[in-house]
Amino acid sequence: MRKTTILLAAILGSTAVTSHALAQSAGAKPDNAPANAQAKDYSNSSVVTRMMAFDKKKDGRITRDEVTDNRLLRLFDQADANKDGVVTKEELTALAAKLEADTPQRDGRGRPPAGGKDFGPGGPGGPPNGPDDRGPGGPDGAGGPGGPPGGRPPRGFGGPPRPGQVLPPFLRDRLNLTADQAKQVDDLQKEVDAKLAKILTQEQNQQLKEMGNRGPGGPGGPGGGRGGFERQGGQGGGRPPQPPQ
Amino acid sequence: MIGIETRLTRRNLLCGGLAAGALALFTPGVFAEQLARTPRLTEGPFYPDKLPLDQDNDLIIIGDSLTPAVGEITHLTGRVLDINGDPIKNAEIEIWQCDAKQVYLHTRDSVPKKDQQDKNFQGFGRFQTGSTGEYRFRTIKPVPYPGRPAPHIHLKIKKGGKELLTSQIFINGFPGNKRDGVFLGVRDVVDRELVSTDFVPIKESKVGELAARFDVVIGRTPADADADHH
Repeated sequence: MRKTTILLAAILGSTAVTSHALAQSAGAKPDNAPANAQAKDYSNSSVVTRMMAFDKKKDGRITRDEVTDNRLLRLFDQADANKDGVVTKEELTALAAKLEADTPQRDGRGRPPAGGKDFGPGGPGGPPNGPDDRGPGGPDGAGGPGGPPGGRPPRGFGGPPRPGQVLPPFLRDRLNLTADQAKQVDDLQKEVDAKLAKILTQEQNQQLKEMGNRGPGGPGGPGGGRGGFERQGGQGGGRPPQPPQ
Repeated sequence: MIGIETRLTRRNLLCGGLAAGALALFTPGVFAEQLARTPRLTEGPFYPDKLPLDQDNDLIIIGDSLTPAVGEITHLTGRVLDINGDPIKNAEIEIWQCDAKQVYLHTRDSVPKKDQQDKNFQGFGRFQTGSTGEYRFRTIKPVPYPGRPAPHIHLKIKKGGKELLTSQIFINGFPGNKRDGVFLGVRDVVDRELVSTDFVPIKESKVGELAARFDVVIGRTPADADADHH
């Protein structure tokens, strides 16, 4: 019984962190977003500066032959909007803005430090892939978090934990549970879920459920604890899409 | 913000720290002479824990087997270069990736998924560059992996027993890239180009084989300099 109490305390604690984090990120967005959208100046973005470095003649434009690094010709072609074989700084600036808009923006909270390129990103609010592609240990879904790069606080772990979760999938992977252990953990999970549901009011339960849906693992739920490997929400499942031959 | 990050990255690239960085910034065209370094990326948890008997550069056929791996056959070629574009010879390039059924050649992955695994896929291969720095593999077009929506091929370059680079090769423009933690972890969009390539159908191929070209550029590293002295 005592164990359960401690467990519940821990869970409720993490729930508190969760709602706090959610409140924070919700609050942070309106501050940042508009400022970013309007005031962002792309004329000094990496696309512009790194491509314009090929401008040996310093005439503010680059030709295709000037791009001596073949790997960057794709960017050149993308930037060359009018297909005249010449790319101007303006065209590169426009491309930079387009590429930026194309990529999901993280707010500052998920931003890895500049030196952290060897790691996955710290990761803001959980994408459905779960936490496992972050951190040095975990890019392929099995290694677990491996700690946030650059000693950042652990809130970046792909979003809030599912409330009441005894062992998140990435920890299961890390621990390499046996089938028997996995089953026991599943049972414990059921017990915890049931007890927690009893303690809380209906409204609170509903609240928790909503938060859980936003967390990692998503709607997939506990679908058969096969060594814990493929428990990330959504992804998994059977054959990968095969592009037409 | 992006500008600052870029500059920091460059500084790292130059190895020389601030002094070299400042010099480069004020020397017109110095970057144009150089190739951008292939960004380092995480090795991931599935570098094979037990290397296969067959470690050649044909990942489609294991040993003398007659059964090829499942997947879209891809001829992955490229060169290993230094930042001046000179070939790096005697470099060992290793690749590893999950099979078409999403199983890596690593017991932590292949044991729980042993029924799912494509037993005909070699999963790992290596190649030693010659004087041209060229390398060549026959493998499959990578597929997404649970938790990794961006299909990718892992890559490691060694020389003289020293590791020079660990990175990953992505499929240019693959939609899952935009949801992939490792890919998005490459902040600089130019760097993203450097770890991406097109998988292009080979016209002459009647069975739909693909070609992918991926040049790897390695800057001078302490290990590199060390090797030169011996």
